[in-house]
Amino acid sequence: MRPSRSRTAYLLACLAAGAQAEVRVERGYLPHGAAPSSFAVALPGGVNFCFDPVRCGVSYVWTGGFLDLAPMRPGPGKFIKPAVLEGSLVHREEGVAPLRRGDPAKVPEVAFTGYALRDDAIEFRYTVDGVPVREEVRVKSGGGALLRTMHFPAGNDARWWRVLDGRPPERLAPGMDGKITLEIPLGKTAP
Amino acid sequence: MKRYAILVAVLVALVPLVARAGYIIENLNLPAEMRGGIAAVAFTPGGSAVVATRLGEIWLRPAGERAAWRRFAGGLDEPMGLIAESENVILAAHRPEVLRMTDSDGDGRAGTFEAIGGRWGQSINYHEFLFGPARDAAGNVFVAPSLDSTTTSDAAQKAAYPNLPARGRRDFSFNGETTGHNSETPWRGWIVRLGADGSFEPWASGFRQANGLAFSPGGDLFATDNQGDYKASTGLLHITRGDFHGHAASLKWETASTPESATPAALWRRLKTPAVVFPHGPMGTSPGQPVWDTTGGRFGPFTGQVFTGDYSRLVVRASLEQVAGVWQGACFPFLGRNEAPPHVTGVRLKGGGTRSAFAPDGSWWIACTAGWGAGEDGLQRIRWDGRAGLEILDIKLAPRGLRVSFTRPLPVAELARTAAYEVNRFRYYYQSKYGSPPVDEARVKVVAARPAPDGKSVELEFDELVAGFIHEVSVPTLQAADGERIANPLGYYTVNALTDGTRPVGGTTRLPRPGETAMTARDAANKGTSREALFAAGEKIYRAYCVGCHQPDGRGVPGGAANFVDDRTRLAKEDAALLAIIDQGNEAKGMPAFGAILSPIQRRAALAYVRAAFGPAAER
Repeated sequence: MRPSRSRTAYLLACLAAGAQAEVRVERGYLPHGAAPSSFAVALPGGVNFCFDPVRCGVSYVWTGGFLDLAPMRPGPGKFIKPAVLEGSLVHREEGVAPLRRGDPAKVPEVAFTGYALRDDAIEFRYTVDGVPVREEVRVKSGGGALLRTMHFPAGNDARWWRVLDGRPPERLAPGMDGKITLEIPLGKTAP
Repeated sequence: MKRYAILVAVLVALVPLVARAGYIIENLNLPAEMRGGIAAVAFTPGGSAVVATRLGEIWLRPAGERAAWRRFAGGLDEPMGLIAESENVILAAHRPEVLRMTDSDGDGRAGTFEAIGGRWGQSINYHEFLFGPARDAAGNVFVAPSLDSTTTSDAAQKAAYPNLPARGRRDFSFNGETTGHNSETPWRGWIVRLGADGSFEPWASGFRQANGLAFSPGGDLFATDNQGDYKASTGLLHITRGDFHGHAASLKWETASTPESATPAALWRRLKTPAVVFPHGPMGTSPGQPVWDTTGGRFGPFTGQVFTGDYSRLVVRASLEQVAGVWQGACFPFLGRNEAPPHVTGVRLKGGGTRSAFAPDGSWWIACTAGWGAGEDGLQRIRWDGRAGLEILDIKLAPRGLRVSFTRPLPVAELARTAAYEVNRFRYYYQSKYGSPPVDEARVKVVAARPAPDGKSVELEFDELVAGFIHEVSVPTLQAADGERIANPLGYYTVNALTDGTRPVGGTTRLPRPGETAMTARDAANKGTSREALFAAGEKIYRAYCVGCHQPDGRGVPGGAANFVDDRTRLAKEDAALLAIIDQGNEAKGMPAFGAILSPIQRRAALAYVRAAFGPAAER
């Protein structure tokens, strides 16, 4: 079977990423308005993203190289400059507390509670108005997209919304398993 | 050839008999792939060593000299403290939260990271460290989010900084901040309690940079803090709920705080000063984590005392006691001021060591990071050689003075000489300016010296014993019957309270009086530039910093510190050359680099005193 264009891009990205075979995390001062101690995550395959633990959401995605940490981690010295992304932004979003429960107009209280590393994914844990959420982020099988899968350990009994700046609220429909999946395509450069 | 081998063997065997006791400093090998300086060290109950690097990694080395380090976790944001629960569960305090890291599948690497706390504010200000964690018997964790510094590297960053994202409400309003340390986001400048039940409670306020929290074996919480604005000197602080420890900025987040409640006089009345003041300079500049010696004597004769690494290449030893319900005590230089053999052997103590832990074998490990400028990266181990050298063991409050004890017996007749003791007292200003010079300095007259029959302690009676003062005790001439000198003949006892409960408001500080010009410590140092003032200042500096190695008579230590009197080449050098040595130290001879410890005028004063006291002035 001839590989699709996105699969080819994925394989090329894998080659570009070299030996990067597991999830790598760095936290600190990241660019593009990320909150302090945001996550820079490199997934296998050369797909990288920023998760902001203050807004509890993926803020941007880039492909190619990961991160030049030198400005952020100058060794001896003061940590006062942001790290530099070593790739191209392919997705960017803004908005306070993008995952909302019930009323999309009400800004919920979100609180970051931790994370877990998988072989090829990372799971973020946070609460939205006290309701625990687990969000797994991985590269879609075959490449071409970033998959964000949210599930609710205490059960899902509410309507969920994704609210971003400059866009109307987006109702999130759970699948048969009760999980919500968002797909971020990696095909083009973000504005 | 065989005869030489036997001779060498005999000499080696005799060395322990003639060498006096001391401490051995070693560098520990670290893997090349370990990134950054060592920002924290701890041991698991099973004896594995755990370190955090300043660049965000956690490494673990199982017990055993030959065990290899392995990377347990990475990606943390400047971790500065550890609690090693087990080989599989480690807690780390890093900037945004306390992380509970668990290796649940046994692959040697943490897989889950539970965030604890995180309800203090956070910006990208480089000075927003998170100090701690310290955990009490009930499982509550205490951490200290430090104040912001207004210093950033260039104008563009200063302009951009206030508009950059932050966690929590930002408040740039004035609250008495004057010289560079603000509380811009919630609970900066506080110690907060993260309850075992998930609760969050601001516990005590007034900290600038509480770079070390620990519970004593008795369950009391202590912290160190750095000199700065509102902070006269560094010290070891006893922390209880609701305390205010001096820095006004933190009170911004206290609901009852008003401008009226933040006047200097009002703040001073609330002020709780350190249990043990570490006089800024002689006792370091930036103290770190306090660690209690619970080795039961395997680290020497100081069981129950507290060891604190200071960033300025110094280890401070402190002892504590409760007097009328108030914690107070003494501090002493331990390593870094006198490293001349026989007291200390091995490699040179590194600078930048502010985190430490006792290993199961009784050795003390100190984590060093080049960090913010003058330190050095690395991990060092300090072992006791098993025999008691001569040191001041302790200083305690006595009914009319102080009781000084020693690690070895001294001749009773020597101990009975009141002239053998130089005692001075001083206190500080409480002011918004940075630091304070010592004020109200006075020589304390020792009217009687009553040695114990065993020669291991002496009770000093003063003409006047006053609470609210730090007492400098110097015994430079005392020596054992075999001629051994005291390795560090200097100590400072903080009298917060007397046995009858007398305890002044403001602790060891007072407010500058009307018409009295409040000065920073540096202002005061720079004021004394006349020849006489230089000599007087230099004498004090020599007594505090130099006498341990160069000796009161300037004759130094054979094979170690320079002998100014008998070796005239020493002071024949030009001022610039000698000032360079004072500034940069002499690593081969174990002399610290005083450029990081003394101001330029203080270094000049020390040289002026050495020239005047021990040799002719050099040709200019």
